[in-house]
Amino acid sequence: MSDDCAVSAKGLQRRFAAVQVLRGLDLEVARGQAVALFGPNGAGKSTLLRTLAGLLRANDGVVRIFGETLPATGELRRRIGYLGHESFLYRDLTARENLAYYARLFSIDIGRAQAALVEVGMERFADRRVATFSRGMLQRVALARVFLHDPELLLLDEPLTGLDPQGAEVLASMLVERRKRGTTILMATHDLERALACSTRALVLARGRVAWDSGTQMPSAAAMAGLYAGAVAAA
Amino acid sequence: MLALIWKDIVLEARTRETLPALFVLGVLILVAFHFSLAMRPEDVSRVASGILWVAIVFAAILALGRTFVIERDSGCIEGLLTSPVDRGSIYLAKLTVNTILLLAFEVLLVPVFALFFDVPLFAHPLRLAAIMAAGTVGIAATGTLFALAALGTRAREMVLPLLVLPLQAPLLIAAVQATELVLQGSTLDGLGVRGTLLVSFDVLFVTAGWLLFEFVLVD
Repeated sequence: MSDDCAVSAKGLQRRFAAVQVLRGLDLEVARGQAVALFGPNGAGKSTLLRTLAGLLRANDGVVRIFGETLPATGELRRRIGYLGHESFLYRDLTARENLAYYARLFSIDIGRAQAALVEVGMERFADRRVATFSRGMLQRVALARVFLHDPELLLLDEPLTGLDPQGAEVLASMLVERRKRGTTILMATHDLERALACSTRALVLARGRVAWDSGTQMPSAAAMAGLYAGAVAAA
Repeated sequence: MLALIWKDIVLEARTRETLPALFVLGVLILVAFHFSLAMRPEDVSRVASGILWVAIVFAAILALGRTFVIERDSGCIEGLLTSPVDRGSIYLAKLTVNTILLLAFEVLLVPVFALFFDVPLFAHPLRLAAIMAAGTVGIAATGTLFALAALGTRAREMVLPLLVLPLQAPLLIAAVQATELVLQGSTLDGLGVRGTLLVSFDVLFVTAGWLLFEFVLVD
């Protein structure tokens, strides 16, 4: 594994009871790459991201993040931002209190909570309890939480879920800006067009393995739909 | 760790979900014993300490079962696990919050207990407080560790008592006997092996919880 490798997974296997989700998956992502991860439901996208985030232990295989083998130390977790299917926000705290709490967990200035809320366009709702938020508002604050500590590796599982077109634009511009600053991004999504617009590489996962890899030659959204269908059918 | 403690206390203060429920359960247990046991005055101090600790242990099961429920909602436990916070610190923070909650419950329960059973609870308040604090830390230490293990099971409300009550039996016996001796006027030095057992249990389970918590957390 070279020094510029942010993520390296070799022979990754993960089972849930009798169901084999990841089947010897191999993946290398260079530092600064923005990877769009496509695949049908059950392909293993979320399991892969949760394993990379240290939330699941692989049954077999080795994962290295920035050269460090998982399980991650506290210092390595500080360099990773993970967005899951749920918001990770406490319903009875306000948006500001939630972000201030996470800022304290990451030992960063709690003043960054305000800046993060401004970035996702939620500053007007900063002092409202999260329980009163719509799905899209929750997703915006959840994104603010992920970006709060300025991680070097972003693992985003369906980040566009619940976002209105304006919210999706905000997210896209945040991702492009982070990518320009050298942040490594892995984003699982079904939105081919938006994901390709802010990525430098595309992967198709099918049956727990990488079924197709764009390399540096990024396809158009229209071409991607055909490539995707072909890769899934061949897997 | 302080952030975790602050967050849990703010959430309890806002929702008021746990402490009132504990108090109602504790009072119900005291009422049931008060009306079911026709005790002679000389028997009261012998039996009363057992009744007090039964109320505390059952209420603690209720409180400890909720330890990680707020973390499970909206997947907050995963937010915690992906943060750089040391796993042992998560345990110590949850243990601290549970201990504060149970002590607050006991502060409310003890006057009601004194009223029902007419025992000299306040003759030696510092000694009694020391015994109750030692017993409470032990109950919270075992309960905090196993509450997380039980959270991953389908019947967690059933599993938690099955896991912790047998473990807490030695602590409970020592706490009941130590409380009885204090009610009879014993000093802390006079508690002998019961005092040693209470402190040893606390040290053992706080250390074990701190060291083992990481292994219960992932998956």
